[in-house]
Amino acid sequence: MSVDLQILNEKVVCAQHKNEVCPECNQSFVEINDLTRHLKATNGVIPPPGAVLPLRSQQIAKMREDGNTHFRAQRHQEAITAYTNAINIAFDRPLWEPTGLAREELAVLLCNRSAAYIARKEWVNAYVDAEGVIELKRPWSKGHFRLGRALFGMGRHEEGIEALKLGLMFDPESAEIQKALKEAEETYGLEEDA
Amino acid sequence: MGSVLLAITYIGGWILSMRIFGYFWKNRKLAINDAEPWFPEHVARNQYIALLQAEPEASDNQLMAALLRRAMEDVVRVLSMREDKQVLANLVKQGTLGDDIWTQFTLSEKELEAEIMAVIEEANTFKEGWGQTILQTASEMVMHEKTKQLQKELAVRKEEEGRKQALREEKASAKAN
Repeated sequence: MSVDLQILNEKVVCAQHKNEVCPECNQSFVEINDLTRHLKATNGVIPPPGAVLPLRSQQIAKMREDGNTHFRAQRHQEAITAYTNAINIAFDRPLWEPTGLAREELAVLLCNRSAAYIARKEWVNAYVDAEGVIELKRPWSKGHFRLGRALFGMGRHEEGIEALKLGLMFDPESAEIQKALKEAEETYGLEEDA
Repeated sequence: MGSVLLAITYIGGWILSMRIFGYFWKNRKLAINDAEPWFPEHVARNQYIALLQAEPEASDNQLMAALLRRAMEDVVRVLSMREDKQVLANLVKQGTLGDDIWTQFTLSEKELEAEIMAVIEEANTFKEGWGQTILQTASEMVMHEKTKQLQKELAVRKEEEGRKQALREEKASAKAN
């Protein structure tokens, strides 16, 4: 029942093996250590529920803008790096910051990174990122649009068409999905018959 | 002579019945405490308590972090019990489940209430008034943690999908040849 721990170099670890995460002792202290790190950064102050310190949001916004600039200049690899950095920071927000904010940020970042992967024809990466977007923000048609493109790239044409149709359901006015769907049905519809 | 005997018998009878009562009462208490708890061990609480007793002393930040994890586990348990309560009430009403499960449940509910009160008290020892907000903060953290898990998920999926796609491409080129 009692936990055998000790504090080593300011981290909480198991007393026997000095591990943060110890399968033998069946204990994990990494959550406490991560939280402690975040508390140190705010000097032990936990903001009231719902509050956000602006610094992190600004950092993330800047990196996203950098990524967008690279993307527009066709520097897709650099864009992916910038987006990845922003994504890592967004995932590392202290847990007490509002979930909704983090999810919004991540949905946009993953969607942009997915587009960059598509431009580089890295279909699997684009696919997984697009699925992430849909999990975070299902009614956002862009996520389904990216998923469709990635699926076509992977050769999964039927699923791609399904994804585009779902996206269209959420946003029937979307011109880009309508166009993509029409092209897909023409192209891949023909291939099936041949 | 007779009345002394009577007095002794009377007092003896009292003592005897007290002891018999005490025996049954103890057994009932034991039965209640032995009743299976609704949840497994409260790891986060054990970690917090261990940290309180650590030598050298844990920093305030570490203790607050551990208290927050403890509060998060409590929030998860409250939500879980709320769901269970509905289902359980129906099943017991139908007669599918016995009363002893219901007793088990209500006892665990009381335990959880006491645990939450304890957390609020502890929170106030760090900062006046923190007890008021710690549960709200913990609720937000529970939701946020789900979002964070997505990060690990993405990495795992990229690997899996990469392998699947490689297989698909192999098969496709085998078919073409």
